[in-house]
Parts: sequence; C-alpha cells; structure tokens
Amino acid sequence: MNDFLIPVFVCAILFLGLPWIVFHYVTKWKQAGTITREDENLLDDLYRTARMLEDRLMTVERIIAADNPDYRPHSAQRAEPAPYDPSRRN
Amino acid sequence: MSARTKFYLDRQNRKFMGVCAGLADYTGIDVTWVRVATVLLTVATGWVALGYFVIAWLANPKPVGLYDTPEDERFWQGVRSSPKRSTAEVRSKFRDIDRRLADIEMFYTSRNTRLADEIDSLR
Repeated sequence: MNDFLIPVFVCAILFLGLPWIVFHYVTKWKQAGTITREDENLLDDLYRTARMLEDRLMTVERIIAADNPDYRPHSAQRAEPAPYDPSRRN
Repeated sequence: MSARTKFYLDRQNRKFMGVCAGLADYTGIDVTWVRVATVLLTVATGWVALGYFVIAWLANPKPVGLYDTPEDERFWQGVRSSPKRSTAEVRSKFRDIDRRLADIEMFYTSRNTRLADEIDSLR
C-alpha cells in the first residue's frame, strides 16, 4: 500500500502541485505588476499635464515674487522646516 | 505611441544582444550590475544563458524616441515597478499644485482687502 502511494504522491506534487504554484504566482504577478493600455495612456496624459502645470505655476510664482517682495512662494516656505517643539506634540 | 510598460531589447547600449541593457532600462538598475549578475548566474546555474537567448528571440528592439527626457524614463521605470506608487506620486503633484495655487489666491485676495481698507480710509 505504502509503496504504491508514495510514487503517486510524488508524481502529483511534481506534475500538478509545482506547475500550479508557479502559474498561480505568474498570474498574480501579471495582475499586480501591469496596467492596461488605456490606464497607461491616461497616466501619461496626467503626468504630462502635472508637469506642464507645475512649470506654468513656477513661472507665475516667479513673476509674483518679482512684483511683490513680501510674497514668498510655497517652495521657499518649504525650504525652512519649523523647529521641532516637543511641547506641541499631540 | 508604443507601450512603455513592455520589455524591449536595448540595441543602442548593447554589448552582445541588448538583453542586459534592456533589463537595465526596464528596471532602472545600473547595466553593469545586470551584466555581472548575468555572468555569475550563467557560471553558477547555466540555464540563464538559455533564458538570455529566449528573451533575445522573443523581445522586440526598443523603438526610437520612446522617452522624451531622462526624467520621463525614470517615471516610466517607476510605473513598471509599481504603478500604484506612480499614480500616488502624480496625485501628490496635483495636490502640491493646488496648494500653491491656493497660496497665490490667498495672497491676492488678502492684499486686495487691505487695498480696499486703505481706499476707505482715504475717503
């Protein structure tokens, strides 16, 4: 009985179990790691728009900063972080 | 426009068939490390060389002008490794733009109220 069962188990694991695991993870990886063509084009479009808007905004900020000396652009504000104060912790 | 989430052979920077250069371009890892790893794995296991030729036979060469700028290339490398993180980055970029625009709006609206106050005081 035992001599008959062991080769059956070994064959089942080798030819069914292992490919199953491999293909399971291959499909999972494909689902997780890729985006569809439409999503790719959308992402490309959004990325381009964001970069274009940022460029324009930087120009506008520069113009405003040149016209009004008291205006500090957001990027300049971010350069100096607030000093850490332990008493203001939540 | 050809897909930028596909694997391509990089014929411009190739040493042999462009698979290693393509992998480096796909993942963003330095091409030297990819080549060293390929050689080491070939010596250690052997089947990597077979995989190399299979990839070289299956994959298409990289189209000319796939990326406009090096920044573009880095962005798409990020998309390939994790689309979720890249979309989050784009969203945070939009939020940043929104915040800065709000700052400008705030600056102008508050300054105009001050100006109106001064005009009122002159009357």
